[in-house]
Amino acid sequence: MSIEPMEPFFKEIKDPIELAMTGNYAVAGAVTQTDPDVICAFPITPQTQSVEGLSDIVHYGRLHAAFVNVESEHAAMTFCTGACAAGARTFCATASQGYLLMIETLPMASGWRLPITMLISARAFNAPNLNIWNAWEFTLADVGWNVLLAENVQETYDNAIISLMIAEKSLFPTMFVHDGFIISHAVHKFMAIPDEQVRRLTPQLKRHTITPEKPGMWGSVVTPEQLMEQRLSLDLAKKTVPPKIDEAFKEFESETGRKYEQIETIKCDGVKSAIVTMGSMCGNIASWQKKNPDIGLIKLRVYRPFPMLELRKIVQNFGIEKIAVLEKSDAPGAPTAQVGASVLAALYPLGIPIKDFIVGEGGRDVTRDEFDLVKQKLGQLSGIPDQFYEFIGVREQFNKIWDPNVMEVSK
Amino acid sequence: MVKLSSKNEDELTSVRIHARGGQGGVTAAQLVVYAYNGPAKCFPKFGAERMGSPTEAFAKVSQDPDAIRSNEQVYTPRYVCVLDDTIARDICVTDGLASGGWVIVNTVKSVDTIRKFTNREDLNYALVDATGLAIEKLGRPITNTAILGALAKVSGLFTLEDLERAIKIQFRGDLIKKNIDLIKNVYDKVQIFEVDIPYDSKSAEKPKWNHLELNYGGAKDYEIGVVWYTPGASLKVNTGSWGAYEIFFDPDHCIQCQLCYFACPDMAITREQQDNGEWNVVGTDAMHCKGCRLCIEVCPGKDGIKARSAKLKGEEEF
Repeated sequence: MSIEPMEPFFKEIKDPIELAMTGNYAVAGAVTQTDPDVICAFPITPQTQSVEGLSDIVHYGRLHAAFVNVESEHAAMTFCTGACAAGARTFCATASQGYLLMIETLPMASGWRLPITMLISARAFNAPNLNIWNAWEFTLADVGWNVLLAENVQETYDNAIISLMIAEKSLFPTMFVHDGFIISHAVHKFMAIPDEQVRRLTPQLKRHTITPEKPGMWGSVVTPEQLMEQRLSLDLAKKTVPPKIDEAFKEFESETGRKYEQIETIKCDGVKSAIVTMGSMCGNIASWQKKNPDIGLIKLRVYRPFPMLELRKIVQNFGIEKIAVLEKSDAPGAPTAQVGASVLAALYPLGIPIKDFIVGEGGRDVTRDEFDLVKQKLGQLSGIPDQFYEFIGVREQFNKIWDPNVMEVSK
Repeated sequence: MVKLSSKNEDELTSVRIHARGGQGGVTAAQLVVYAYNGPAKCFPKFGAERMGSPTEAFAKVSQDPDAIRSNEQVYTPRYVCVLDDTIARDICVTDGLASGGWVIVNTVKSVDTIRKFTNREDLNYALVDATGLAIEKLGRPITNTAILGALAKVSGLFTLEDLERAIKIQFRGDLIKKNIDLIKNVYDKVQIFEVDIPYDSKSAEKPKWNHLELNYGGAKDYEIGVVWYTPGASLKVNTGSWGAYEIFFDPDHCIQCQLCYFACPDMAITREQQDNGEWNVVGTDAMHCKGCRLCIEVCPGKDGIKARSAKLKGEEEF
């Protein structure tokens, strides 16, 4: 062992134990417990320690897995796809440009229905200048992967295990996301569960493979007569995933007592307006709600498959009349950014005003000031807005905030 | 023994640790998390960190898990630990501290000198020569554990025994015993200067939008394509202090080919416009040169002698 924070995972964990670790090392620990056969990833900030921890664990023989060094993220995902198709339990991790580089290889993993799990330590991509801090690059590719998000280290540790359960139950690759630096490099206290429980939660399930007894071909050329049927078959299969996610959450709860749902509502009783968001920001909003009980929080834990009907039902049942979406991604030229677009589509039949706010890109802190402004803007919002999205918490000019409504500035 | 200020156990208490890159500020914040009996989290300030640049790390603790749920950075700490008193010259270490808050400084200076730096009479000060004690106990001027001995004494957030437990998690071998010796020593020797002002957490409010750094340019100040025209991507940061090499320019052997100007990744080659309109290389911007020596690599020189040379800072010519 050369990486000291990994020490607790170098021996069998027999009882639930409280640990204090960074998000990345906690994920490395959880992945160790799930006993993968192949780990193949290319290091990139801010995901690096997760693979570093795992390479240590493999190097010192604690985990009998193939730790494969490759030359790029593109190669990493290609290798993972091949390994997983051969039947291996496979883990990958990436962020930012690495994710963009592997996008070419991501659809095949879902197309072949391979239960790969992958950590995304969410980080901005480089444009117009390089930034290594947090933003939601993972929203850029919608290629059939399941996507889970975490608010804190406990959730990202749990997600590492739950993602594998979901992936192997649904036979769709699953990525779990934590916000780069905000979670990946923060030390939180969390409860690790015993190895025995992880083994019970993640039994080896029967998989589809090609064998000499049942030879076949994967990834061949298909003509216009076939592809659409194959895409539809993929889509139909994807529709069966949400109940399997619920099943995984239930099983996890019965083993650990920690209850998770696809969407969580925080202080939504009796409110007329609510914020829909996901990831580490939810914690900031929950704290802000103490002084602002008139705004509810709807926290998405599962981003793909998007829990559309559940979200609509929640908004209807609570009688929420206005929605603000907060997200750390943008899409120049699009009607609105990615998360906002999903929420808008889900809530379209309700006809309520929805506004998408772009915040916290490139590691910009999302503070009570942003939430105060969102609340103010929700108050002013009447009817469907012309512009579905806007940036907040950003400078327009030297000493000037990008917003005509903000007058109060102290410094 | 200091009288511990009464505090609401459910309230959020936050600590900010100022250090220079490499001094272990983040480790100190982690030790606070390990030592505190109850919900706690810590994280670094998100910004560029290099050996020697001022860094910040934060810890949030509370008996109520909901109180520390926010992942927001710390804007209103109650305790500020300064691992290196030279940082107080570079940045305002008392930012966001409400009256009755604590400043814990590693220094050999007097409390009056420190007060003059901070210009704050309404704060409690705890001073200790952590560097001296660290050299004595560890043999190295590493003060991140030492300062926590003082924090334990003035804050009562954790006891020395808690801190010992934390040190056993963080360190290995004889470093454990040495660090425990060190924190005990600091605990005994820290000088405490209290003011008779009760701490009021409600008066510690984050100044509105202060996280936006309003004194920087905004979206409309950028030119097309967001080209950077400033060296080191920031005029305000002394990135030159990160480098190990100092670069020298000898105009007698420069043929004004401008190769160094194009090769420099940080726009740290200084030029001047001549009367005939041409730009001539005249030197190096030491504020932003990180000493990569690419300019020397590409320099064709004159008469077999390059116009650029490097010297390891504080060493013989390279």
